[in-house]
Amino acid sequence: MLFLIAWRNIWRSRSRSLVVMGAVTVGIVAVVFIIGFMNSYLDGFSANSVHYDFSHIQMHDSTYLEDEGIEYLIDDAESTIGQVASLPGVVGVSGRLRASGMMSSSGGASGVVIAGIDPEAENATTALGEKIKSGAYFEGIKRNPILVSRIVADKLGLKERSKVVLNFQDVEGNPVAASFRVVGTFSTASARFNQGWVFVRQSDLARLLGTDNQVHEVAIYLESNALLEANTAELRADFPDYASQTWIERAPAIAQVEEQTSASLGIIVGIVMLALVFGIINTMLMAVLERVHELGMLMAVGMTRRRVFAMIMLETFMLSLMGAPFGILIGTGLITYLGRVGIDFSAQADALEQFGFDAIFYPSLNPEDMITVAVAIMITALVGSIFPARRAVKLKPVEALRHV
Amino acid sequence: MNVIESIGIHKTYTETAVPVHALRGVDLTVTEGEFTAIVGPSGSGKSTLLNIIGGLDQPSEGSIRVGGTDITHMKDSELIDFRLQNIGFVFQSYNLIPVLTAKENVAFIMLLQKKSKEEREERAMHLLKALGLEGRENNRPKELSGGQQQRVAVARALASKPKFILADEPTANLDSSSTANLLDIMAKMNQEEKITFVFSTHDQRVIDRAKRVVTLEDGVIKSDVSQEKISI
Ligand SMILES: Nc1ncnc2c1ncn2[C@@H]1O[C@H](COP(=O)(O)OP(=O)(O)OP(=O)(O)O)[C@@H](O)[C@H]1O
Ligand SMILES: [Mg+2]
Repeated sequence: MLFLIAWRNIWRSRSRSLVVMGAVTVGIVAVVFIIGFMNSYLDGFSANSVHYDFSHIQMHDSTYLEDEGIEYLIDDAESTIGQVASLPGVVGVSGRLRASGMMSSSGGASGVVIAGIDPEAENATTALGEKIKSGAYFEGIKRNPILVSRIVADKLGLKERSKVVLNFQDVEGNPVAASFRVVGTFSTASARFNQGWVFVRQSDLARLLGTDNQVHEVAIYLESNALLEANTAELRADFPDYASQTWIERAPAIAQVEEQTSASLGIIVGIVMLALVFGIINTMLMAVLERVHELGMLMAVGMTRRRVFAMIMLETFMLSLMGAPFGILIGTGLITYLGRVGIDFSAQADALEQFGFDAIFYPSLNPEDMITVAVAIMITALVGSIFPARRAVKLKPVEALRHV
Repeated sequence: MNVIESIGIHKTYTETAVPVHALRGVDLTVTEGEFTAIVGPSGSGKSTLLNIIGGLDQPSEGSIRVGGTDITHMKDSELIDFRLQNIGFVFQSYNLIPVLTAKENVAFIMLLQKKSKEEREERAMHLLKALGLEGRENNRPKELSGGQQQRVAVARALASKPKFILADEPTANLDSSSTANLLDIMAKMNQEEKITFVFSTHDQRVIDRAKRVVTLEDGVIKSDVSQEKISI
């Protein structure tokens, strides 16, 4: 009967209860939307990170990983890459020579990572060829072409056909200086590439480094992330001398972004919950204060404080949770719809791309997210109910009865 | 048997700027089957005395026994249960839970006493019928007249099978015919079921119906007379 009383009490001031219900509904829709949006942000971030930067798997000489020493190479590159490419589910394999150095031009100098690539294989792996903003993808310049990012080009005042000089060390440790000519600029969804990578032909760099059929890094792009575990295991078995790492291991920044995102999500959810808690407390305190006489009468005739407490808690809980199904329904509906059509941020596409995002966000929800929402509502209702319930049991029957 | 024994009751309200001596040594014994009116001018201490007898408030001095149990120093939580099991209450107004029907209001007190569902249903209907409320059992308080509401309150008080029923000005908000009607029912319950009633009132017509009239003045009993003319 406590349920019945609590339920009917909610409808004593219908409009007030509807306002609380509406607030809970809106609050949940907002939280669900933010979670869905953050998911798309994270999914997009890791998808882009895989597609345009780290690929699914990278293989290096085991020692190379420690200090990226130029002398730690994967030998017999051609047959190794051929063998990797023949594994099931592999879409693209790019072998890269890598050297750290300085790039200087008449406009200034900048520290860069020089990647010696096979343009075709690189394009099949990181789609670099599709990200050209000016010039061409290794076409039109015969001798020592170099591809630079638009950011670096702007910084050093480089244009197509500008001459740059690269300074680095060869595998023996001897200093090397060589001039290259800008063949094009790129802007990709990889912040790492945008900030300081330049791409040259592998044959050009091999000549300067003094390597022969060797690479530092093999990047492997798979059909789908689902193949990640199996293919990594396979590579580890096939190439025990080399270290094969997944993108998750290679890119700790992603985990960091995930952490930051869930932290900010926590703050936003907390703010929404706090607002709801205040609304609920306010409403229920009003309800309690309107019923002082009645509560006094109930305690006078023999209703224990524990029961009064339970009654008010129950009422607050019902009131708070009534809006929840609507909120969850509308929220998931909204996310399902937006997940299909996407949210278009084309206007900010350039800025987004620099940080590794696509212009269209596809919000999504995981089952765990709904548990988060459910727990958040429960906590909100609980916190919102304690205060009014305590207020109610503090009443003294004699005084409450004198109250009109 | 004595249902109420109060000895040397003093009550001083100290929360006020000047302490108010609401009761100054009241000895009152009520035996089973009485139909007693507590009367006196406004501020004479009627409500204060009823609250103390009913275990809603504690005396500053003196002792109070209800049904042989000393409740003077009972803890708050024990008092709530004691009231539930031993005392029926009828207040001046707003006695009922507005969101429950007449029958549910009566059944509710038995629910608190953890009576079975059948007993609650059966007894609630029986009492409502006895109090002339047949056909109104599914109405909520606001759909009932003031007199009907007070009769539901009496039914609720009777439902818990208390040792006595305390009523502080039960007729204060009723018109004269409802007052007469309520008094008829209370008197009938007193005569037929031997229910003990202690009620306070200002109303001379109510005073006339009492078997015993205790008059308070300035917190002391000024007179205590038994009268014999009971009519139904
Ligand atoms: N909670 C309280 N705090 C302070 N003084 C109080 C309190 N309750 C009652 N009093 C005072 O105690 C005295 C007795 O009050 P009480 O309510 O018992 O009188 P009463 O006989 O019931 O009066 P009425 O006929 O108006 O209901 C009054 O002077 C009143 O002002
Ligand atoms: Mg009074």
